[in-house]
Amino acid sequence: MFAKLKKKIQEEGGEPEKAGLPSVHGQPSPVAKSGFSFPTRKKDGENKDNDSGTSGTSEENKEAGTKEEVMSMLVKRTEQVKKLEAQVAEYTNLLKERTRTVEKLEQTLEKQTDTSSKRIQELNEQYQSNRNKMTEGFTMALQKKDEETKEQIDAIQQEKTDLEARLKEAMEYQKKLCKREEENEEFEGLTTQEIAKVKHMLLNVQADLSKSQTELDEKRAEIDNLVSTQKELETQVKSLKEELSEKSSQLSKVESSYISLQGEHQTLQRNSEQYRTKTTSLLEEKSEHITHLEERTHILEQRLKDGELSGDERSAALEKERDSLEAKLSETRQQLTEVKSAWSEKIHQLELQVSNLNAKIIEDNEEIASSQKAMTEMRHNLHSQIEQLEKAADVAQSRMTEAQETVKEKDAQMEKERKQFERELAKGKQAAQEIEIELRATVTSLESQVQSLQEANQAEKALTQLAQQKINQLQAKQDETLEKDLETEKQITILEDEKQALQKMLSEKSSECEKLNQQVKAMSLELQELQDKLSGLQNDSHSSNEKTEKLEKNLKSRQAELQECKSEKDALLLRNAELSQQMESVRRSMQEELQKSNRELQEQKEEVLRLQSQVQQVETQNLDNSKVAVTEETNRLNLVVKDLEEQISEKNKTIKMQQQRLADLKKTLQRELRVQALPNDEPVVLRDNRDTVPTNGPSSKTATLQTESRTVSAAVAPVVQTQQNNMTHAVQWRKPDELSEVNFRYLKHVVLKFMLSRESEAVHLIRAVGTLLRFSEEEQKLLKQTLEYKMSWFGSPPKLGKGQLAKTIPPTF
Amino acid sequence: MGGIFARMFSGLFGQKERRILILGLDGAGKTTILYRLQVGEVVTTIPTIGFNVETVTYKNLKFQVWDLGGQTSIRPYWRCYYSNTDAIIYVVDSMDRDRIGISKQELCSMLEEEELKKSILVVLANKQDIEGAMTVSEVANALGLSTIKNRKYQIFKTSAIKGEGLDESMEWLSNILQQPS
Repeated sequence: MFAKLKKKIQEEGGEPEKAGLPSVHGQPSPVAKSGFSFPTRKKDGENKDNDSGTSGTSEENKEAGTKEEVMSMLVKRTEQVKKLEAQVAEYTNLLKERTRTVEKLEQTLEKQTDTSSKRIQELNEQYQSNRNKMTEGFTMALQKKDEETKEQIDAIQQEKTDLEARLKEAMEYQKKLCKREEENEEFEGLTTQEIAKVKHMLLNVQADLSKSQTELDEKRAEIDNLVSTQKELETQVKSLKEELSEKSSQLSKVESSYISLQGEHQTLQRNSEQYRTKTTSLLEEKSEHITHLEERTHILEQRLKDGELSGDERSAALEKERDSLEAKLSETRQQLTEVKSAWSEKIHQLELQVSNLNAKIIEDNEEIASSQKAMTEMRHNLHSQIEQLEKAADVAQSRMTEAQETVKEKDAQMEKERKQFERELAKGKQAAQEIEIELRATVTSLESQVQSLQEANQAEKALTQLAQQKINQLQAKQDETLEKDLETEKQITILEDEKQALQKMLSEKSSECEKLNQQVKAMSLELQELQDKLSGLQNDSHSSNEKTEKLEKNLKSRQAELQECKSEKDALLLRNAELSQQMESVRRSMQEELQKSNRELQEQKEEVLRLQSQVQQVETQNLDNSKVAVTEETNRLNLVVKDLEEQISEKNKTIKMQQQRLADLKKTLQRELRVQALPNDEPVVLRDNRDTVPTNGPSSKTATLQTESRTVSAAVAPVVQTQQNNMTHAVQWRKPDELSEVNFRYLKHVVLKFMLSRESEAVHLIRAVGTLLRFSEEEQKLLKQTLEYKMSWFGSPPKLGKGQLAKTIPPTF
Repeated sequence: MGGIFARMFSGLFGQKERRILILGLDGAGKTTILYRLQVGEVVTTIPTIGFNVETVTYKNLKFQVWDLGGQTSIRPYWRCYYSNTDAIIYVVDSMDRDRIGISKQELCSMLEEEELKKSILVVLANKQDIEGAMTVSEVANALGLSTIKNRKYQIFKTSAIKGEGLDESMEWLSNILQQPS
């Protein structure tokens, strides 16, 4: 193996080591690497072998005894080298194969490059050929196009030149046309200026017309204002009239009220006078009565004094009395007669007064009737005056309306005239417009002719003569147009004339307007005059109203006088009646007094007779036994007194006896009650004694007790009952047993609930509490009232007494 | 002041309360019946010395029920509560054969009162749950109910402990009270 390697190395000239390395480095496989690494080692090993050959001497020097080991090692190494050589041979084979494949690949690469270059060359050739072809085509096309465009441009340029020539021609024609048009325009401007002047004049006239119309309107408005002011004044007049009437009515009311008040005052004064007279008369009567009574008392005192005197003196005194009484009687009779005569005179006088008053009343009535008639006449007169005035006012108003109508008619005429003017103006305008239209038509025709001429020029430039002829024709036509213009000028002059005529008409109309204004002013003056008249009439009416008012016042005063007279009459009649009544009453009283005095007289006479008889009896008795009778009487009286005292003592004894019996009975009853111990009976008994109301189960014993107590004499009964009650109370409250305990608990429970519950619930417990605490009916009522007051929203608290008797604590606020 | 508002509201929204008295001898079960009606439960009670008042609502009817103590010494005070009474519930102990006579006396004297002339009577034969109790007819005979005239009345057998018969009695009473008299 080694030999082969060496041969290879010899063949390659020591290069394999150098060439091997890069070739091996080109192999990326790990096997190749490992394969490569071994030979290097191996080479190292060779070097080592060589080195060991050199260095072995040193080793032999150092380690002589280890030769055998070295030998064995060498053997091993040789073996290893052999193995490695085998491996290297394999690798060389592999290398060869690789190199072969590389060569093959190179060959194929070369082939491929050759083919590719060939292809590129072909493609280049194709490309160049194609490009040449293309350039040739393009150049050909461009040349063609250039030629075409050149031709076109030439054509266009030719056209352009033609067109320029035409343009020049057209410009020339245009210039000519412009000149003609300018001429035409100058004509038109002249005509338009003139038309404008005419229009301006017309406008001025219209403005004047409008001014005059506005003036007219203003005047109308003024007239309207005046009419409205007149109406307002009329309404004011009416309102003032109404106010006047209201005030007059108020005045009349006030006066009537004043009169009535005066009448009332007078009546009151009269009444007071009457009352005064009555009171004075009453006072007089009273004074008379008092004197009368005093006299009587005097007489009676005298009589009393006389009674104390003895028999003869008494009789004498009685006689004196009688005399005095008789004298008084005569006096009274005289007085009566005097009074009667005075009264008859008075009555006569009053009757006379009444008759006078009646006559007066009749006269007053007549006067009133006459005054009323005068009043009615006056009223009629006034009404007629007012009506006349109203008629005059109506006439004035109708005149006013007529004047307004004339004004309106004039206005209408003015408007008509104005409309006519306007129509004429419109006609003038229309004519001007027509002329304009005609001119325009001629212009258009001229233009068309110009066009035709142009055409003719274009068509027959050569035939200039014809054209000149045509030009002549055209000049002739122009002359015609000039003539037409002249005609229009003439028309304008005519229109100006018309305008002047219209201006004249306008001035005339304005003068008419002024006249109308003057008329209007005159009418307004008339209106003012009429208004003045109206105001005068109104003043007249005012004065007449005032007169009527005065008359009415007079009437009222008369009526008031009448009423006063009537009231006086009534008062007098009343007084008459009162006087007659008084008369009658006085007569009656007089008669009564007379009767009384007669009776008294008779009585006194009888008394006198009796007294005389008594005097006689007393005289007889005095003689016999005056003293004995007195003693007997005293004895009798003493006896009576003793009897009575005895009776009283007996009755006291019986009372004591019965009281004792009662006490015994009570004791026995209580004992029996204790023995029975029926708990429900005790309060029943108590209630029976207190309220005397029949309730459930009153025991027979209480009944007997009651009957017994009734048997006791009526005079002693109340005392006994009170004692009984006291005793029962004492017993009831002294008993300390279960019953009272239960009762007390019940009382406590009920009272607590009463106090703690609300008013509406506590009301139900009033009776229970009342019976338990033995309230009286009034106390229960008070409780109920206070509770109801507390429950109610409003209302006053019940009266609960004051001071020591107060049942509540007074509030501290 | 609170009372004023309470009254105002009751005046605005509430209807008139009916006033009912529960009467009967002591130990008949009046208080038990009252609280059975109000709370619907059996409550332990002590002997009533005084009275108990409760408001019982039955079928939209409001009853102000007054249970008055039935002890002998406070029985006379019953008459203090008679005014404005719409109905009386008279409770009888069906087991108490000894005192049925006293019960009858009390009932009769009560019915004679002028203030109770227009009030309705409901008799409850109570304690029917105990064996050997008097039957309804027996109680009615013992109380002499057949002699009652000019009065709407009815007897019911009840047991306050078991709550039997109370509903029927209240049903009857509310029906009668709602009738226009």
